[in-house]
Amino acid sequence: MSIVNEPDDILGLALKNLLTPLLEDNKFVKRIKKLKKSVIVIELRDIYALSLSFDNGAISINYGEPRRFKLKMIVSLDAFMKIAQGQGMIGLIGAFLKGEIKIKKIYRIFTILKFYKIFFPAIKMANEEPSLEGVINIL
Amino acid sequence: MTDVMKRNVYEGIEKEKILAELIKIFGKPNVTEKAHNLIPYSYDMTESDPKMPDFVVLPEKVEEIVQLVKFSNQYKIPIVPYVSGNNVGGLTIPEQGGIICDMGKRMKKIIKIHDSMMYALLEPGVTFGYFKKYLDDHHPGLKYGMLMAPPYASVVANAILSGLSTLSTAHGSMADFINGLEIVLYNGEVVRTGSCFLSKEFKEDNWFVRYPIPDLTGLFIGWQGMTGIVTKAAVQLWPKKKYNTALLAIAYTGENCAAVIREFGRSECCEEVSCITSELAKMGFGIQHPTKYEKEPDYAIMISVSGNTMELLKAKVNYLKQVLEEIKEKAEDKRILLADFDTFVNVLGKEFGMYYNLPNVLTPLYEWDGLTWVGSYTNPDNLGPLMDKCYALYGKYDLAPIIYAKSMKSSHYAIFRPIIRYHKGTELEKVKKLQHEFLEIMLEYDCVPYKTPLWMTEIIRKRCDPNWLKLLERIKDVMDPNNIFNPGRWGL
Repeated sequence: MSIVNEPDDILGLALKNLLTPLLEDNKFVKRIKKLKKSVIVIELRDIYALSLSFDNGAISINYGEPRRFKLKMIVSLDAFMKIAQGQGMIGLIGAFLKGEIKIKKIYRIFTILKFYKIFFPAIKMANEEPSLEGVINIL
Repeated sequence: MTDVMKRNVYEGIEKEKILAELIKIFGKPNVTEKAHNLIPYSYDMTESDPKMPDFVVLPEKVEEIVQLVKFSNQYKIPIVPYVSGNNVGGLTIPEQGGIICDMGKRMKKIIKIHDSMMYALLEPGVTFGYFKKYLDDHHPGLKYGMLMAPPYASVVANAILSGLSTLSTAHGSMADFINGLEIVLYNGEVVRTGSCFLSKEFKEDNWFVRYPIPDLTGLFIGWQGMTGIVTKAAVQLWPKKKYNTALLAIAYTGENCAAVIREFGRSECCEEVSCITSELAKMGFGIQHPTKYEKEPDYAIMISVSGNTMELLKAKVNYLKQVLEEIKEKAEDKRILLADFDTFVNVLGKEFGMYYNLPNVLTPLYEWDGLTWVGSYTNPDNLGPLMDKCYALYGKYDLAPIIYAKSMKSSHYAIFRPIIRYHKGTELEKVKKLQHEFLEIMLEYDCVPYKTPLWMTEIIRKRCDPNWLKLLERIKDVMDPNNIFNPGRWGL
């Protein structure tokens, strides 16, 4: 189980950073395998989109939006940061209700749930400890 | 212009006699004339041509420097003051040979931290890393500005070369932090400038201000060691605020980035507002040749805000958000996004924190053998076009754009610095050409270069006010009649 390519765009680097430590966890790996062959697009609104391609456990992260995908999530930076700041499920649902997160192909509810189980722990884990000493997160 | 490049160090005295005298002054373990010891002092990471010194001495006391200067002045032997040599301007390369006076090894005492008057009296060898730790451990209520440079950089050298720091957006050039200096003059006299001039004897407690007397300190600031050897400096410390936050804005286009730097600086809410190109951010993750994708942001802008109460901190941040909205209203490209820096670090990876946790060996800048820049003080109104034009030039030379800019003193002025890291063996000539093109653009936009290498001062001399040059030369003649102090710099 690994990320099979080396993303070199900023969002790709972020996703690689978020996912890599979790690939040591068998439970997490099982969740990824459940996605089988899927391409999921994440677009940070006003910035750009990238795709996460799952292929029976192997993940590749690529800049841009492919023509075919199973699911697309469009997130505003504010919403992404709220989730990343540990506001968790409430933050996620709240952002969705406020329109800060939009999902294309929303009828694929099982894929959404499977992806959520990957995406959410990845961001949550990254925030367990503050990184910069003596700094208060204020926004 | 003096005929600076030709000098026979041994014209008046034989090498063996110089060596014997230096050993007498400094002791044998603190003097060397061996080539393998001299070579590290003959070059730096920049494009400046290497030149070998003849000797290196490691002083411990001011009295030793007094004797050195008297001796060198008698025989017209050049002395080049040196601390860590990482000035990125070729400033300590001994253009005419002579003696490197390395104060970085044994003159590194923090002589005094005056808590109530908030200054530190330092020897030249005190490094940023040591200074920060010392203040944190012993004077936790006080702080000094840190810099985007390795922890072994010298606090005093940074100040007398008009460097910058993480407090420069609020308080200006590090030269403005200087309350007073102690200097050894060409004839061996030791002089103290600033408020400490009022006592005949050296005291630790009277270095609290530089004014309102004639500002003789200025005779040694920005002179690159050409007027005397600075042996002590009193620098201003600042109260550490209770609450601190770090923000990060991402921006597209030089114009938008410049607007954030300028207006956030001007808000007087920030201790620090500076930016780096996305390419530099990516290099921090080990990407050696970063590709810039079309829709990726161009700049990351780092902002520090502090306050003694949480309410004050929040009020400042709220005001910055308002300023940002005003910038966005006027901007053609509305994509300017603001978030907590810490969140970016968490999401992107701890490596990104290196740009906040200063001082730091910023790996992307130091992992190759070549590093150079055209550093300048500039008009903040010109930052946008400067960024765009210099950014485009990197593409012409197939080099990754590394641009650093900062608001200084509430945006009275700004720093603009296109940086190049390179492989000396294969890219030196290309880098020299690019540096010249950068300088042309920057002079066109009234940038004032700092830490100027020789090739740069040659160009500046041709276009600057001739009476300014005459005055510079006259002062140099008075301060150093035998031209022993770092000769060659500024073409003198």
